[in-house]
Amino acid sequence: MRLFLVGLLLLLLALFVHIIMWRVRPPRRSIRALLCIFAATPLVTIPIYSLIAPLAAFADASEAVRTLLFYASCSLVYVVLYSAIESRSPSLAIVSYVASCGSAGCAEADLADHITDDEGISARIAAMKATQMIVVSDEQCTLTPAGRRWAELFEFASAIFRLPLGG
Amino acid sequence: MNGPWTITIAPLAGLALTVLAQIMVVRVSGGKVGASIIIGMLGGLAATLATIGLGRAETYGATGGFVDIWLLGGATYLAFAFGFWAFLNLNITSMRIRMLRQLLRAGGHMALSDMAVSYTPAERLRRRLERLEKGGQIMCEDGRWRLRSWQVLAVAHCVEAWRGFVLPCRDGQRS
Repeated sequence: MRLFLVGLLLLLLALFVHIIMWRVRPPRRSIRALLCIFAATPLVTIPIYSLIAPLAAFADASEAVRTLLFYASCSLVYVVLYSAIESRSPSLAIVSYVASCGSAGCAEADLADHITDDEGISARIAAMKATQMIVVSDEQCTLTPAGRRWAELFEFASAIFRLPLGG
Repeated sequence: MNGPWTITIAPLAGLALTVLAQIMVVRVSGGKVGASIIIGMLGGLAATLATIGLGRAETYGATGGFVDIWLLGGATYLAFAFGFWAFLNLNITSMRIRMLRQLLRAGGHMALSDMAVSYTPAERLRRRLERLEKGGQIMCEDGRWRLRSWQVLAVAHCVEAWRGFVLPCRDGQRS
């Protein structure tokens, strides 16, 4: 139970810091800030704990690694989920709206009126320009070398896992 | 490798098997991505538990309790498996990834006007409805969309509640 509790406490501590920070002033680069919080929490707390506690938190290195693997994997789950929390997912919005219509259901035209995609195509192009994935000149969109590498990575993953072209 | 370390690496072994099983099943099944992910995850969970059992047998009576071994290992594997699923799901649903891939397929260049035509709001809505219908979340009868399964609705409610708790209600970020 000890290792599970240590991992859980670290997670709760990181979540507590995250909630306080976000309620006071949400950071501009939220995912990066979240990753920093989750990385810093064990780096700060474990040395402090081992200085003040008479007994070590872990009996050996394997226990420390096991606990940190649990902590890291759960942290990544939260970071993944956070993207759906931060910007409203259109798919979740569709399901919520369809549910709100009850047994009568709704027509596709109603959905088109109610479900607005906050990030239209121009916002997505602007975001990809800002992260230097593409450049736009003379009404032409061109992949940068970094964008090409990412595109090749996703193409490779899609070929390996046989994923359809989504969006 | 001794018992405690076998137990420690069990979730990673499970994740490796999940990836390999997904790759094999999706090929054997002729491209059934959903089924391959589920089979891969179940296989990975079984591999994780088997590896933990192996580590437990190597250090009989010397390794901690149920929670620190089975629950910790199982939860760690499930978290990694969720990450793998999220990566696959991102490849299927992300508009930006689709745009990057289409640009690559077009030789690295595309006219902005062509991109705008490919991603009209109606087209995006149609693709999402298709995905949700294929996933069994909603259904269309007589031209009207109705809820078919409550799972995604429960997720939507949880996400909405957590958003309300974490994000401050200002500047229209929350809607």
